[in-house]
Amino acid sequence: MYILQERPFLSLYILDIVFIMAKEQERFVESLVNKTIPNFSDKKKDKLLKQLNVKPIMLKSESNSTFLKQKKKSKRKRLGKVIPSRPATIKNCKYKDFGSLRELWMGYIKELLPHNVGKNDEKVIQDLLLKADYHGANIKVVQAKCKDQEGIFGTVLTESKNIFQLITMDDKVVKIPKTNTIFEVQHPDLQITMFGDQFCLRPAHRLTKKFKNYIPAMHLV
Amino acid sequence: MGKNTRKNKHFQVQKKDVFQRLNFLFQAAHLALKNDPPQKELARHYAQTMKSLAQKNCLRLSPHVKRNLCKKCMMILMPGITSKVRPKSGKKHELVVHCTECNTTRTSYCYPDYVLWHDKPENIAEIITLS
Repeated sequence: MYILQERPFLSLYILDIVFIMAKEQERFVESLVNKTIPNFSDKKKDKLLKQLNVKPIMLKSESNSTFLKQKKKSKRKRLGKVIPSRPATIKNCKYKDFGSLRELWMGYIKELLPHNVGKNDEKVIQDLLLKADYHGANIKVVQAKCKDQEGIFGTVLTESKNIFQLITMDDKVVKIPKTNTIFEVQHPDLQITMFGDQFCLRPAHRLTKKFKNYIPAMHLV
Repeated sequence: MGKNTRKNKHFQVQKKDVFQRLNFLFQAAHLALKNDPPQKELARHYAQTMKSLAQKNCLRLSPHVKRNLCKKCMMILMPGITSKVRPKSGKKHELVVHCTECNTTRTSYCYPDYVLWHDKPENIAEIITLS
């Protein structure tokens, strides 16, 4: 305002320049159109010129949502890995490494079962074996629906709802399903056979479940 | 595993086989970390079954056991292999334990004259050894 009062000529000069600039743009566009399209009717020319002289107003774009999504993704990566719900497959291990595990299991089972095993104690032993833990036991597959799986022998690494993971003498990790198979557990005094059909539970749930007298799967025997 | 701190005189151990199973799994998890290279997935699987077993039967684990396990992913914390232990910045008597698998931290106190409630001899009613 100070400039306008003291030097009115300057203000008019500035306003004039702005006005001239706007008009020059329009004149430039008109001359371009005349050069490229010489034979053009007046109506279509006016339409074209209107379209070309429009200056679009840029509204605020919706970049906030994409920015927030990227923030959430990076936060999840920073927080750590996702914890899997089922046990993962185990790699790069040998049969020799688990010798101490097998010794632990033998000591654990000797403590579980009563010392003097007689013929009348069958039910007691069966109840105890249903609640026992089989991580680290030697297991052999006697019968299975798939004939390639018969005769596999190894130690149990993990146990989940449907699958046993064994490691064989050749350092291979094998997954064997529990349904439609018969297992045999090694024990110095007893011979233990397990029907895998009735065992399809998580090891935690096996403790609290009560087993009735089931008839074993006849189509395998 | 869990100490019996109740005040009833005629207290019998009802779930003996479950305690034996928890004990076995805890030792097996430590053995899995002893190999070269240490197997972390196995150790985590054993500790997870241990926690779910104790939950199903309404048993409590002693705090000395719980301090070695990560709260989120149930991994056995051994400083150097699976965890980092650092003092907390700005405070005097606090430690921060950071699990490298699931990226969670946990703070604990380490005052010089502090004894846990479970360790005080006045609060222990009976010690039973399972043979």
